[in-house]
Amino acid sequence: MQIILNGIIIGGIYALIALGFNLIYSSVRFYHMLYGILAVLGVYFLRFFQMTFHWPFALMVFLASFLIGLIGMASWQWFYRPLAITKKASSLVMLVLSFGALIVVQNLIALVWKNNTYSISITETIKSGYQFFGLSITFNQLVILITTFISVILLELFLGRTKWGMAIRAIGDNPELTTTIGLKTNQIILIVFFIGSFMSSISASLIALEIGVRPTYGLMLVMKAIIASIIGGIGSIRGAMFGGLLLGITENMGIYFFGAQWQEVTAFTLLTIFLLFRPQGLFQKYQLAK
Amino acid sequence: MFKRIVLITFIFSALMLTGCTEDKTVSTSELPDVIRLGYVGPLTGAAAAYGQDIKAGIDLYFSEHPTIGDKPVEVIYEDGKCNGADAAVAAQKLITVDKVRFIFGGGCSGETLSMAPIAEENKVVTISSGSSSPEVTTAGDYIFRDYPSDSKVAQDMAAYIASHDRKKVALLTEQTDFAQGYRMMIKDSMTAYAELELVADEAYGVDNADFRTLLTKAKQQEANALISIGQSPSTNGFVVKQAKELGLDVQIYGPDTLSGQEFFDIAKDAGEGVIQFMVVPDPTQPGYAEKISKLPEAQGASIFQLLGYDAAGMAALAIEHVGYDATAIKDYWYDMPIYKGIGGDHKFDENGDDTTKIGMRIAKDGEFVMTEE
Repeated sequence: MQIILNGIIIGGIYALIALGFNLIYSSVRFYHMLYGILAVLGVYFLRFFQMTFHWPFALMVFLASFLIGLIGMASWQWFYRPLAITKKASSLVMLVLSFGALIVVQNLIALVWKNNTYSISITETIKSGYQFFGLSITFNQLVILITTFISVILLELFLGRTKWGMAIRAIGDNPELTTTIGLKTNQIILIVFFIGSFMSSISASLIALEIGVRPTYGLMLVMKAIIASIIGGIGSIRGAMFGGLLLGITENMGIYFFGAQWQEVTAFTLLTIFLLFRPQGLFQKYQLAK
Repeated sequence: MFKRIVLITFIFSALMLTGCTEDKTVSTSELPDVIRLGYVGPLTGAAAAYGQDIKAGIDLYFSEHPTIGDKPVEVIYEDGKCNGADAAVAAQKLITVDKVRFIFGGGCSGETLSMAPIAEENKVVTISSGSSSPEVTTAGDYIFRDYPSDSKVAQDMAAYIASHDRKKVALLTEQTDFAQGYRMMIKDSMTAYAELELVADEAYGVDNADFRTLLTKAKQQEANALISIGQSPSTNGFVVKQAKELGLDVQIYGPDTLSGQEFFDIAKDAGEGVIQFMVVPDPTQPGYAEKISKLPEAQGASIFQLLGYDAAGMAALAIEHVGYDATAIKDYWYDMPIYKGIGGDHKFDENGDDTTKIGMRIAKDGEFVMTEE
């Protein structure tokens, strides 16, 4: 049972990182690889705030994530948009471009903050986890699970019940049509980039509570987001959550039965199985990529 | 008669003086205008602390002794990133582009082992102040180290664990040359003690930081001793942190790669009581206090700085005596008497391994301190 619980916790993290990625993908239809390193940059901002100010942890996470949200918006407006809209670049070109940008930002982070691993903590001491039914769960892990759960509910409510949320879904369903009915497409995409980037930074901050942060984590995060998204159904919020959880649990079962060296193999085997037998993912009705 | 004695004494003295001069140093004209030496070690990445410490020691030596035989010394630093591929590229560049005949490094076993064939083929001497894999012993004629082999450290660690109460051992190792070499040595050493039981032997991928499932397995096997062999202080820090969070009641042991502030930044109070086996500085060595005061604060452990300093000193001594010729330097080192260094006394055996001492340290109040136990 502890293995499944470990899987659910790490899966919760994957789910959270996949939520923002999925949201952005559903609007722009290309793989925003820069997403992973912006998430990591958010953790470095958080660390800077922690070392400089002594504000409450939640406030610092919010501020760092807000900044990342703004940078995410800027990345669309001044980096992606001129190519995607003006130059009509294909999704493959955008993928390569985005990947290049990830490497550049990764190296800039290493230049400024070095390649070291930094840990992020809420408390100054390490405590044994809460024990129940022979299982162990730490305070940080509870925070991760609760934050993931709340984020999914808020995002579902936002997308389903608000004017802006419906506009975002409309953009995802049919970008061309939304333009003809008078929706300001660019404004909506900017909001999507803000929300997605904001969430990426929140999730990376939570991940950092568990495994710290280093510049090279950006690619790892975005890869997990992609795998979880494909498993869950690309473009689906609920799919991102269940995809993340399934990925986390499967990875941990793989580690337990085959050894940790098989962790990545397990993840990619799961991805291959889905691509072969259920390419639309778990939640087909939200599938946006055709 | 008196004249003959004076003459013989004069001739004998002259011969002695000439002989001494020839034996002591080579002529300056035989040295290149600039003596370029190479360095390959982890300057970035998770193991950067060790590479930076070794570099600091080399820097200090050549800032104190900027010339060898009146010829200026230039050290060309390359980042091996603690992986074989980058180290091999760096060594090729140093040998073929910069034309060095001597390289300090690698800083990690993986670096050294991938550089070794290149160095052997090109007849370039290397000396590592941080590689401990047993495989380095047989890596080649030109490959030296002033750092102890894991086999020696593992024997001490196994003997210590066997002499204490907690004998159900879990072994967690990273998939690197260093960690896997160490793992084999630990397992071999444990066979000498029937009372020791290896209840879990788990390997994990490079740069992994989530060990909960592996630690859960160790807990299920009722391990009461845990040996963590990660490549970097941060990796070991996460093992220790997560072991406490999962409620494992274990005595944790580790090698030199526990050293570094990152370990305590991550493990915090969970790191208290962790026991480390490694080569340790000897404060009674002549010049120890003076050099420590001149060196920057160690990122990993001061011993790496001191061994880097000693490696530079031995390199300068050899070049001074036999010139900047790799084969001559190699031969000189094999025959060299004990070198009184700052990090310890050094003497190379027939495999280029050093006879450095091993000690034990315990984590106390956020740092590793020597223990006499």
